[in-house]
Amino acid sequence: MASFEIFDAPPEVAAAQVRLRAEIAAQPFWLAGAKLALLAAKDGFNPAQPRVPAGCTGGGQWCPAGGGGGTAKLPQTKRPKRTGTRHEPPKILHPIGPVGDFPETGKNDWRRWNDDVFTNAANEFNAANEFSPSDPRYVSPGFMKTWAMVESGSSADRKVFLTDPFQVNNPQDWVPAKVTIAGLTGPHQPMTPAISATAALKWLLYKGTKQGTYMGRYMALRDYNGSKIKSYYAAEVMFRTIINFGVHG
Amino acid sequence: MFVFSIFSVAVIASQPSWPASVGTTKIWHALRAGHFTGVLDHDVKLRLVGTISVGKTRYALAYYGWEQTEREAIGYPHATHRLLVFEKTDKGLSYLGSYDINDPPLGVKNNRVIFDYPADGGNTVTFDEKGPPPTLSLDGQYHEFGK
Repeated sequence: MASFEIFDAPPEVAAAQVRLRAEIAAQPFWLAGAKLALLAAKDGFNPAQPRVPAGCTGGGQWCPAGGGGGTAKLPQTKRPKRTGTRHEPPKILHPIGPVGDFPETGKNDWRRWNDDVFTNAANEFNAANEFSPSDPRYVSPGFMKTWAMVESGSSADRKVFLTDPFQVNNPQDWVPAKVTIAGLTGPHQPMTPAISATAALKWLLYKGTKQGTYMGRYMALRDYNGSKIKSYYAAEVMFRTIINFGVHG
Repeated sequence: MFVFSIFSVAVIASQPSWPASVGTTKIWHALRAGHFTGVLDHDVKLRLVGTISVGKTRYALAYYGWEQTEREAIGYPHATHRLLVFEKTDKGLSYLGSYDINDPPLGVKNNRVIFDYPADGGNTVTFDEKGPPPTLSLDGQYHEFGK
């Protein structure tokens, strides 16, 4: 019974408890990393090889070897007729660079169209919160782009990437707190990449902060996703960021 | 933590299973009628957590979990979890609102919904005469009550 009462520990003890819990909770991250490394070491296996998109025949399966990076021949499915406004390529002032396995040349050029949006969102977020590059809450354009690629960067998800690349306002997983915390207006709000990036950063910071202490990006990403495989999601975003943009990416 | 876990099991064991008067069908109807903003589809899991009586007001608490299948997902599957709060009246259930939560609750004890978190960051939702708290802390995270 008493174990449910608020434990009035001295601040230094409480802070140590928070740190210890964060370290324990981060264990799956390192396990996931080790698993990824083992998979990568297997002969002929590339964990980044793209998969057949959801909704297609064989969805979720690996694409044929050599067919990586969105250029793979996917199973023939009848695509719906294109409707609505076509997205015209914007002029990119601050190119971030490609995230490996997600090519952005030729017909995959759309993957760089949000580069300026990601850069601006990251800069505004850091400035508004006074986060310096040494702060664990600081976000870089490279992290933003990697995160968006993991969320919606596959070739079948182009439309999502150009509207809500962070899937922060997926009507299916809407919760009312996104109004006050992420600044969204509702589950059916028309989304743009700029709105998505700004809201996603606020929601990520909220998810990663407990008892006023930031638990780290890995924990923030886990709770941002919330699914059974949230540890793998967080690990993939973090590993891809490090691989493509370095530890400070 | 060991003591906590033993107690947690005891809390669950002490809770009745679904009261005969509250079924998932009634919960679905109440959510639809109560302008619930989440999705009600085949990916939803609903589970009654328990009931709480405060004065003459009776509340029913349910866990709502929605998780995409990998086939339906864009990129990784997404998921969301809520603690649903209903008022139980003679006419049935009335949906009052919910809290966005990260994990399912363990159960209900007296007027509190209990979660498997350390106490220092908050592990209960306590109902009083004012009803569900408008804000609360669970595992050190701030949560709001909303539709």
